[in-house]
Amino acid sequence: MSPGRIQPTKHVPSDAGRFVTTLRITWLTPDRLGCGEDRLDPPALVVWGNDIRRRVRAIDYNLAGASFVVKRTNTEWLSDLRSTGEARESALADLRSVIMSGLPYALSTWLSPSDPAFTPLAEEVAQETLLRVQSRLETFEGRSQFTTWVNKIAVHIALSELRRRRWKDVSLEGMMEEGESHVAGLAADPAPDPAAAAERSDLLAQIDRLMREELTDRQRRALEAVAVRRLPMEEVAQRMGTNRNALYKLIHDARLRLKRRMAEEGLMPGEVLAAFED
Amino acid sequence: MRPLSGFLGWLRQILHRGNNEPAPAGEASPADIARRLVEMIKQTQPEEFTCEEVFALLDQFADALERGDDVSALMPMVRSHLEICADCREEFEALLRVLQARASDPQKP
Repeated sequence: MSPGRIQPTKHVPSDAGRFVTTLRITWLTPDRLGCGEDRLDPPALVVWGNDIRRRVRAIDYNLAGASFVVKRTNTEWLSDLRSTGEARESALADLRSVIMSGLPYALSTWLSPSDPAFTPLAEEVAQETLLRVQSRLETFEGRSQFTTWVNKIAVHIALSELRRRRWKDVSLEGMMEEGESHVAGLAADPAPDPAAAAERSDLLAQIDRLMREELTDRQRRALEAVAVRRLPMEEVAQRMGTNRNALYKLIHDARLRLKRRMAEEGLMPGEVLAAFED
Repeated sequence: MRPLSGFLGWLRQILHRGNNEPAPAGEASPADIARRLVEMIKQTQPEEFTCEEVFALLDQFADALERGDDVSALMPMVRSHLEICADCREEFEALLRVLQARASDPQKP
């Protein structure tokens, strides 16, 4: 590698069909210059045959207009975010870029980057994520890349918000009625032949009976909303006055009871599944 | 529990899925619903991770998967939870897409 080398410019098509152009420039500096003042990665030390020590330096420019993001190790992210002044500000700005550049991919099945709602949502998510990351820095255990941890938090915030928006005007009450089971009403299902239809009808009636006998009304409503109706856990939890984690436990207990009861009644899940194969 | 190939098939499905699939709620056929319910019961284990426990491990799980580690052997309880819990699975899939984008473009942060 020679000083001043410029690597080929990269054109990377993004999900939005836009092109992000980055330019990497690498060069060598004498070892004594060290690193730090211009916020670069810890450079690799190169020792040439003649014992001249050089360090490989690299800088990435994002020509799409965003500032380049310095690559940091986990330790560097943590120490920069815990520091004050310029180092912290620049780490926060970089973290914001990390979040913003990940969101088009994270949300690709939910919201197109060309949707007018995308940018305001992404900015809101980035802001909320930065606040949460700073308040929970102590909980990062270093078992993953720091940016993966941050992206995980951003994804959670973004999807919670998108679910809330998607379901906010939908009444789930009709889908979560008290006292009435939905499973029994499913019996009128077209089946390959009359015998199979009768068998399915019988199995559905049995499952329905077990659900009524084994589960509390709350458990049955939760299980039907999530497993049968496929409503989002978070939305169901909110409307049942609980949270997602507690709802998961409630449904887990319901599944366990049904599993045990099915075994007692000689209903093998594998056989039931086979009866519903088309 | 499904064999590993089933899990890999599921991952492949996630990774190559297009933009056209927010799962419809309440529109499945009765046979689908019965299958879904019984499948969930079949997979039920006495001890399962909750959403919070899975969320705490999700970054580690995703990084390991991205590195090519055998995550279903390393973290079977995370995997089981993801197969049952749609909300957590959606978040995991979204995170995986971000990591994939990062891996396909090393210049990305």
